Amino acid sequence: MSLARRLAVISSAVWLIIGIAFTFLILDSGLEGLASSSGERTRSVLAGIILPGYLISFALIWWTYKGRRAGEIDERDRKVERRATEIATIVVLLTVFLVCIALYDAYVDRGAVPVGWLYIMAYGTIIWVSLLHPMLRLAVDFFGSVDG
Amino acid sequence: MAKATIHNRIRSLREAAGLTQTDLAKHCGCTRQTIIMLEQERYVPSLSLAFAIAHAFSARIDDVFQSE
Repeated sequence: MSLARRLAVISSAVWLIIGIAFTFLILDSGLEGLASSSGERTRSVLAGIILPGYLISFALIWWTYKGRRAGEIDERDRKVERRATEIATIVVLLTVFLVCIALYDAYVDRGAVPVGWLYIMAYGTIIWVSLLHPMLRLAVDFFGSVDG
Repeated sequence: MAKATIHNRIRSLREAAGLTQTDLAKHCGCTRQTIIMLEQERYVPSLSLAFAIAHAFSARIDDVFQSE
Protein backbone atom coordinates (compact mmCIF):
# COMPACT_ATOMS: atom_id res chain seq x y z
CA MET A 1 0.00 0.00 0.00
CA SER A 2 1.38 3.41 -0.87
CA LEU A 3 2.11 5.94 1.86
CA ALA A 4 -0.73 8.19 0.71
CA ARG A 5 -3.23 5.33 0.90
CA ARG A 6 -1.96 4.25 4.28
CA LEU A 7 -2.34 7.76 5.69
CA ALA A 8 -5.87 8.02 4.25
CA VAL A 9 -6.85 4.66 5.80
CA ILE A 10 -5.46 5.68 9.22
CA SER A 11 -7.17 9.07 9.07
CA SER A 12 -10.49 7.50 8.02
CA ALA A 13 -10.33 4.94 10.82
CA VAL A 14 -9.50 7.53 13.49
CA TRP A 15 -12.26 9.93 12.48
CA LEU A 16 -14.79 7.12 12.00
CA ILE A 17 -14.21 6.05 15.62
CA ILE A 18 -14.50 9.67 16.77
CA GLY A 19 -17.67 10.12 14.72
CA ILE A 20 -19.29 7.00 16.21
CA ALA A 21 -18.32 8.04 19.77
CA PHE A 22 -19.66 11.55 19.09
CA THR A 23 -22.96 10.15 17.82
CA PHE A 24 -23.42 7.90 20.83
CA LEU A 25 -22.65 10.73 23.27
CA ILE A 26 -25.12 13.07 21.54
CA LEU A 27 -27.85 10.42 21.49
CA ASP A 28 -27.16 9.63 25.14
CA SER A 29 -27.29 13.21 26.39
CA GLY A 30 -30.00 14.51 24.06
CA LEU A 31 -30.34 18.08 22.79
CA GLU A 32 -31.64 19.59 26.01
CA GLY A 33 -29.04 17.77 28.08
CA LEU A 34 -26.26 18.99 25.81
CA ALA A 35 -27.24 22.64 26.15
CA SER A 36 -27.95 22.62 29.89
CA SER A 37 -25.49 23.09 32.74
CA SER A 38 -25.74 19.36 33.42
CA GLY A 39 -24.34 18.78 29.93
CA GLU A 40 -20.97 20.28 30.92
CA ARG A 41 -19.45 16.84 31.36
CA THR A 42 -20.73 15.67 27.98
CA ARG A 43 -19.40 18.79 26.27
CA SER A 44 -16.00 18.28 27.90
CA VAL A 45 -15.93 14.64 26.80
CA LEU A 46 -16.86 15.64 23.26
CA ALA A 47 -14.07 18.19 23.13
CA GLY A 48 -11.73 15.59 24.60
CA ILE A 49 -12.68 13.05 21.95
CA ILE A 50 -11.87 15.42 19.12
CA LEU A 51 -8.53 16.51 20.52
CA PRO A 52 -6.72 13.18 19.86
CA GLY A 53 -8.23 13.26 16.37
CA TYR A 54 -6.48 16.54 15.73
CA LEU A 55 -3.22 15.43 17.28
CA ILE A 56 -3.26 12.39 15.01
CA SER A 57 -4.20 14.57 12.03
CA PHE A 58 -1.23 16.88 12.70
CA ALA A 59 1.01 13.84 12.95
CA LEU A 60 -0.32 12.61 9.60
CA ILE A 61 0.29 16.03 8.04
CA TRP A 62 3.88 15.90 9.29
CA TRP A 63 4.22 12.34 7.97
CA THR A 64 2.83 13.50 4.58
CA TYR A 65 5.34 16.36 4.47
CA LYS A 66 8.17 13.93 5.16
CA GLY A 67 6.77 11.59 2.52
CA ARG A 68 6.76 14.35 -0.08
CA ARG A 69 10.36 15.22 0.74
CA ALA A 70 11.34 11.54 0.41
CA GLY A 71 9.44 11.12 -2.88
CA GLU A 72 6.97 8.65 -1.38
CA ILE A 73 4.09 10.93 -2.33
CA ASP A 74 4.12 11.74 -6.03
CA GLU A 75 2.24 13.88 -8.54
CA ARG A 76 -0.69 11.51 -8.75
CA ASP A 77 -1.11 11.45 -4.97
CA ARG A 78 -1.16 15.26 -4.96
CA LYS A 79 -3.78 15.31 -7.71
CA VAL A 80 -5.88 12.78 -5.79
CA GLU A 81 -5.61 15.00 -2.70
CA ARG A 82 -6.69 18.07 -4.68
CA ARG A 83 -9.65 16.29 -6.28
CA ALA A 84 -10.74 14.93 -2.88
CA THR A 85 -10.55 18.44 -1.41
CA GLU A 86 -12.70 19.84 -4.24
CA ILE A 87 -15.38 17.20 -3.76
CA ALA A 88 -15.29 17.41 0.05
CA THR A 89 -15.75 21.19 -0.04
CA ILE A 90 -18.90 20.87 -2.13
CA VAL A 91 -20.30 17.97 -0.12
CA VAL A 92 -19.73 19.68 3.24
CA LEU A 93 -21.25 22.95 2.00
CA LEU A 94 -24.30 21.07 0.76
CA THR A 95 -24.56 19.17 4.05
CA VAL A 96 -24.48 22.34 6.15
CA PHE A 97 -27.01 23.97 3.83
CA LEU A 98 -29.41 21.01 4.03
CA VAL A 99 -29.08 20.72 7.82
CA CYS A 100 -29.80 24.44 8.25
CA ILE A 101 -32.86 24.23 5.99
CA ALA A 102 -34.08 21.12 7.81
CA LEU A 103 -33.68 22.84 11.19
CA TYR A 104 -35.53 25.86 9.91
CA ASP A 105 -38.39 23.68 8.69
CA ALA A 106 -38.49 21.76 11.96
CA TYR A 107 -38.48 24.77 14.28
CA VAL A 108 -39.98 27.62 12.27
CA ASP A 109 -43.25 27.46 14.23
CA ARG A 110 -41.43 27.66 17.57
CA GLY A 111 -39.46 30.68 16.46
CA ALA A 112 -36.17 29.38 17.84
CA VAL A 113 -33.79 26.50 17.30
CA PRO A 114 -32.57 24.67 20.44
CA VAL A 115 -29.03 25.86 21.13
CA GLY A 116 -27.79 22.28 21.40
CA TRP A 117 -28.08 22.07 17.62
CA LEU A 118 -25.43 24.75 17.22
CA TYR A 119 -23.04 22.66 19.26
CA ILE A 120 -23.85 19.55 17.20
CA MET A 121 -23.42 21.44 13.94
CA ALA A 122 -20.10 22.94 15.01
CA TYR A 123 -18.46 19.71 16.11
CA GLY A 124 -20.39 17.61 13.62
CA THR A 125 -19.10 19.64 10.68
CA ILE A 126 -15.51 19.28 11.89
CA ILE A 127 -15.90 15.52 12.28
CA TRP A 128 -17.74 15.16 8.98
CA VAL A 129 -15.11 16.99 6.91
CA SER A 130 -12.26 15.23 8.74
CA LEU A 131 -13.84 11.85 7.98
CA LEU A 132 -15.02 12.65 4.47
CA HIS A 133 -11.73 13.95 3.09
CA PRO A 134 -9.57 10.81 3.64
CA MET A 135 -12.43 8.58 2.49
CA LEU A 136 -12.71 10.63 -0.69
CA ARG A 137 -8.94 10.38 -1.16
CA LEU A 138 -9.30 6.59 -1.13
CA ALA A 139 -12.34 6.65 -3.45
CA VAL A 140 -10.68 8.98 -5.97
CA ASP A 141 -7.47 6.93 -5.75
CA PHE A 142 -9.34 3.71 -6.61
CA PHE A 143 -12.07 4.90 -8.94
CA GLY A 144 -11.44 8.45 -10.01
CA SER A 145 -9.63 10.08 -12.87
CA VAL A 146 -6.93 12.60 -12.06
CA ASP A 147 -5.16 12.76 -15.40
CA GLY A 148 -2.16 15.03 -15.83
CA MET B 1 -12.25 19.06 -30.32
CA ALA B 2 -12.66 15.59 -28.77
CA LYS B 3 -10.27 14.64 -25.98
CA ALA B 4 -7.54 12.29 -27.22
CA THR B 5 -7.13 8.87 -25.62
CA ILE B 6 -3.56 8.22 -24.56
CA HIS B 7 -2.20 4.68 -24.78
CA ASN B 8 1.21 3.56 -23.60
CA ARG B 9 3.65 0.67 -23.89
CA ILE B 10 5.06 0.99 -20.43
CA ARG B 11 4.37 -2.57 -19.36
CA SER B 12 5.90 -4.18 -22.42
CA LEU B 13 8.93 -1.88 -22.32
CA ARG B 14 9.37 -2.50 -18.60
CA GLU B 15 9.22 -6.28 -18.99
CA ALA B 16 11.61 -6.14 -21.92
CA ALA B 17 14.03 -4.14 -19.78
CA GLY B 18 13.72 -6.64 -16.93
CA LEU B 19 12.50 -4.00 -14.49
CA THR B 20 9.98 -4.41 -11.73
CA GLN B 21 7.30 -1.80 -11.18
CA THR B 22 9.16 -0.70 -8.05
CA ASP B 23 12.41 -0.31 -10.00
CA LEU B 24 10.71 1.80 -12.65
CA ALA B 25 8.93 3.88 -10.01
CA LYS B 26 12.20 4.65 -8.22
CA HIS B 27 13.87 5.54 -11.50
CA CYS B 28 11.08 7.92 -12.46
CA GLY B 29 10.52 9.49 -9.05
CA CYS B 30 6.97 8.26 -8.61
CA THR B 31 5.22 5.55 -6.62
CA ARG B 32 4.62 1.96 -7.64
CA GLN B 33 0.90 2.73 -7.47
CA THR B 34 1.32 5.35 -10.19
CA ILE B 35 3.18 2.86 -12.40
CA ILE B 36 0.33 0.36 -11.90
CA MET B 37 -2.23 3.01 -12.88
CA LEU B 38 -0.15 3.99 -15.91
CA GLU B 39 0.15 0.40 -17.11
CA GLN B 40 -3.61 -0.04 -16.73
CA GLU B 41 -4.02 3.22 -18.70
CA ARG B 42 -6.07 4.64 -15.84
CA TYR B 43 -3.77 7.63 -15.44
CA VAL B 44 -2.20 10.02 -17.91
CA PRO B 45 1.06 11.40 -16.51
CA SER B 46 2.27 14.95 -16.52
CA LEU B 47 4.75 15.89 -19.21
CA SER B 48 7.69 15.76 -16.81
CA LEU B 49 6.78 12.26 -15.62
CA ALA B 50 6.20 11.14 -19.23
CA PHE B 51 9.70 12.34 -20.12
CA ALA B 52 11.14 10.61 -17.04
CA ILE B 53 9.51 7.34 -18.07
CA ALA B 54 10.75 7.62 -21.66
CA HIS B 55 14.23 8.42 -20.36
CA ALA B 56 14.12 5.33 -18.11
CA PHE B 57 13.70 3.21 -21.25
CA SER B 58 16.15 5.29 -23.30
CA ALA B 59 13.29 5.80 -25.69
CA ARG B 60 11.53 8.73 -27.30
CA ILE B 61 8.38 9.90 -25.62
CA ASP B 62 6.24 9.03 -28.63
CA ASP B 63 7.67 5.50 -28.58
CA VAL B 64 6.20 5.11 -25.10
CA PHE B 65 2.94 7.08 -25.41
CA GLN B 66 0.53 7.21 -28.33
CA SER B 67 -2.63 9.19 -28.72
CA GLU B 68 -5.65 8.35 -30.80
